[in-house]
Amino acid sequence: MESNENNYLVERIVKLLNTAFHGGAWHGPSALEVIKPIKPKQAAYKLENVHTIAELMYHMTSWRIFAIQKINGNEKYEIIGDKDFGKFGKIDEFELETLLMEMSLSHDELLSVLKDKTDDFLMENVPGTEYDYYTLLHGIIHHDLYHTGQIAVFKKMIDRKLEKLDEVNTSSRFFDEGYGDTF
Amino acid sequence: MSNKELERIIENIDTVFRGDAWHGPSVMEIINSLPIDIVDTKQGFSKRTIAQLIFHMVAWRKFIIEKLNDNIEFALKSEEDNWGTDVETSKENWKNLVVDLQQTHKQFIELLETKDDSLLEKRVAGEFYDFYKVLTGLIQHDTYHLGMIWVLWE
Repeated sequence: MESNENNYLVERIVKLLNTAFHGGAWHGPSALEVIKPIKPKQAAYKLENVHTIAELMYHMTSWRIFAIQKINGNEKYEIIGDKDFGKFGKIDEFELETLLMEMSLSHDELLSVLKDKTDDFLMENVPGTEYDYYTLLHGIIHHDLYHTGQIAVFKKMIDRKLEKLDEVNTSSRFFDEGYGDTF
Repeated sequence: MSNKELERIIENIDTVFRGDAWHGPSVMEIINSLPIDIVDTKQGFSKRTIAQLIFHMVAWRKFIIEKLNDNIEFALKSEEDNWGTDVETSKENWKNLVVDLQQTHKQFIELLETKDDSLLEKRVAGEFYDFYKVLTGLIQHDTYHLGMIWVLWE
């Protein structure tokens, strides 16, 4: 996108959307920097009372789609029920790859619908809501990073639990500890 | 000189701090609902406690205040500059820490309100980025660490 006096602010937001999603953000790790190394086991791990990482990834995509729909003038579009956090069966490599791909595609799509927008657009009311696009777009960035912060800690928490699980498995099933007969 | 864009940024900084933010819970909303008992609990899986993360939010506000005053030398160098000492981040000191956060935030906003949009293009003294990057970055920094605090609390 060419920067000019009519889309200067849009371009700034696009840059922020990109750094917060891909990398080079001021605050620290971007969404993808935290999410890309996630393994299916971590993404699927269900901690009590909270969403799984897979569900949070889905959720981040859902709200990007919300923004895209609104920009395209879909006043009625709402995020309800399973549209918010998804509904998952088993999370394997394939499913996780799909989630990641959908996230990236929704990001690209969002950038593409912003492409021809001028700064006036940012002050327009988002159809069906009480806020403007400036709030929505910055909100998407903050929303992404809020959940990215959660995921960064979940990841550590889950690793600790999986490690413990592995210890139990290793000592009981695979190794004959203390009898000098390990393989 | 216009201050339209800076006004929006100030509004964003303040809603993420106080409430009614688009993304979800604000800094003060989370702080006000936290049980004090857990603020300095060290979880085995995480290097940081909730109080350390709050200290960190204060520290970076102070950093920007110094930079708004053109303090080229100022930097958060050490571990303690960034995350506080054991005493500063103890349960006993929690109330003072929250007061410090609120006062620093207030001072920060008041200082920003004296500026106009030309600030956003200005390079931060001693750094390779401008104030647009650091101010929008601070909000992102707040939300990123808020997500962490929420998990440590749950």
